[in-house]
Amino acid sequence: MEEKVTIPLSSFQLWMQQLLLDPYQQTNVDPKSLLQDSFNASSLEAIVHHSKRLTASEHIGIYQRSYIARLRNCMSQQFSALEYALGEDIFCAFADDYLASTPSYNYNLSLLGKHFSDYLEENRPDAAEEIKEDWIDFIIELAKFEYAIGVIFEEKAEEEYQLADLNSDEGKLKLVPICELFKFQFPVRKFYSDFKNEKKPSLPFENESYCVVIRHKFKLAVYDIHKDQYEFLSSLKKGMDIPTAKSKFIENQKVTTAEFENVWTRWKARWIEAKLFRV
Amino acid sequence: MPNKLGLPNLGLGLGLRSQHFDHILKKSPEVDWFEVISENFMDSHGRPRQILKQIAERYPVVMHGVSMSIGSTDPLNFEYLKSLKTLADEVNPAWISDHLCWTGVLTTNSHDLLPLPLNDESLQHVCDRINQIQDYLERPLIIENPSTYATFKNSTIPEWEFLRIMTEETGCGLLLDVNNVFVSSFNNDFDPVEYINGLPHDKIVQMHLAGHQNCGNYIIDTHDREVNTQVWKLFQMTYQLASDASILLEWDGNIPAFDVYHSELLKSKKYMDPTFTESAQEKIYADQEQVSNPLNVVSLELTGHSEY
Repeated sequence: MEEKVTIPLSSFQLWMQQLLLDPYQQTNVDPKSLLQDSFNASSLEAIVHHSKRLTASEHIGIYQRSYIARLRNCMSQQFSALEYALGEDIFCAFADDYLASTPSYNYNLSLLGKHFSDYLEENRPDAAEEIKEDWIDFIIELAKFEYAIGVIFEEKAEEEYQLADLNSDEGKLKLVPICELFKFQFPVRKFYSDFKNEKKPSLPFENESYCVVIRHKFKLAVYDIHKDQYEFLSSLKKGMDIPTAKSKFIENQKVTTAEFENVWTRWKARWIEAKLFRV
Repeated sequence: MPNKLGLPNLGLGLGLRSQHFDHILKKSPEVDWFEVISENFMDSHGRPRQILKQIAERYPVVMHGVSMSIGSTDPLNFEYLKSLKTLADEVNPAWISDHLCWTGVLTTNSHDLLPLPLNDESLQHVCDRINQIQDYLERPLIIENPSTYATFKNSTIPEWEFLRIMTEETGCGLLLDVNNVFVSSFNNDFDPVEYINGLPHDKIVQMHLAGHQNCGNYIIDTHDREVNTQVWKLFQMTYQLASDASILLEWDGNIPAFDVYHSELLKSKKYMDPTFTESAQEKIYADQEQVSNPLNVVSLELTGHSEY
């Protein structure tokens, strides 16, 4: 007859969670040390039944493998372009290490990769080298962009507004509620879009790039912009109205009003068409 | 027709998956109802939630959660429950369900449906929390039996008995996952027929069906393929005991085209007939072990990549 095993539920859960999150005891926390006030719970075999086909360890092993595989799958969905850029094996190694150091604390899986770019920055393979490798900088930028796209896709914003048209009063134009600007060291937008369009892009060389991501009627669109446009739209993002942003731009860029108005007419038409402006 | 908990029999339903959003909105397929994974929509304020609202205007919807963590010894997460309730107020689900499990402690979320030792302490703990949750949500909760891969020596109550007492003590309903019973019985050496017979059949509000992966020495609840014939047979037996229950087919990995998914659901009609017979062996899959309780994440779409 088996001896009666007594384990308070809270201790049992601490023990099992430790087995799942740290199967190789890298944190040096022995799961057994978490079994407070327990009786006859001296080993895994004393707590978990074996079955006709599996040992007690094999039963727990199913949970251990599933835990990391499930979250790794989520990371690869959240960072699909990054996984392509790194290759599956390297991505998995980074993802597994990230998940071990940063377990999930939220039911919302969208937040799973929130700190992944920080993790990559802190754990870059060339951390000890004096001369840094370019591709790692690209990987970090791509991770930030992919996570940001997910945030923009889900975020709460005003949805009922009137888009501007070419006849709208210029003084009343405002950026649509979800309009995010990005500045990169690398052509991240192009790589991301090429990947999404199944063009199998190669890792790019360093080349400064800018883009704007908008959401209108719950659909995202991303557009390349150039540096001047980025500067101008940044002023609008900070809350400036169009006349003030124009004055600032003319002053900073040392161009004449006539020169800028010529450019602005084209920008405005394109941005209205792209649904960047509301009234 | 309302069942014994006063909840409607919704008929034959499918899990709502983002891959099928456009098909459902354009074609309005003849599906009786949809079940949504609550967590995929609770904190989303983008297109998925907007589409869910449109679908909920056309079809009955049930909200099925994976993170309530009813069995956890952490305090109840009222931030989670508030978000759940807000979504329920928007889509007016026929009911809200979750699992007899825990997902983590010390605020960690494993995103797995972890098994509980089934004893007097856990029963009291689970019942107390279900009562609190039902009071907060102002509606009965429907609890699903999880697929399990381990049992514990400090368990003293069979799962079917645990579920029976839990429904009596709290008034909650049951979501009986027939595939989970089969998976757990194979993995943990119990008789699935004894399990089904031991349940309070009048509390079964809903049934789940799903595919699994037989790895030889154990079975994984993968939701990534057709329903196994032995699970259909168990469903056939169960349906004779709980014919008021709404039926739902889950499919979370290798999600097929909508019509394939729907036709698999419609097979259930054959098995509602107690005289229907079909012989087949349990198939063992030699492919790589798949993930249990896979997480179906809403896929993100980007409409324009134009250079400007």
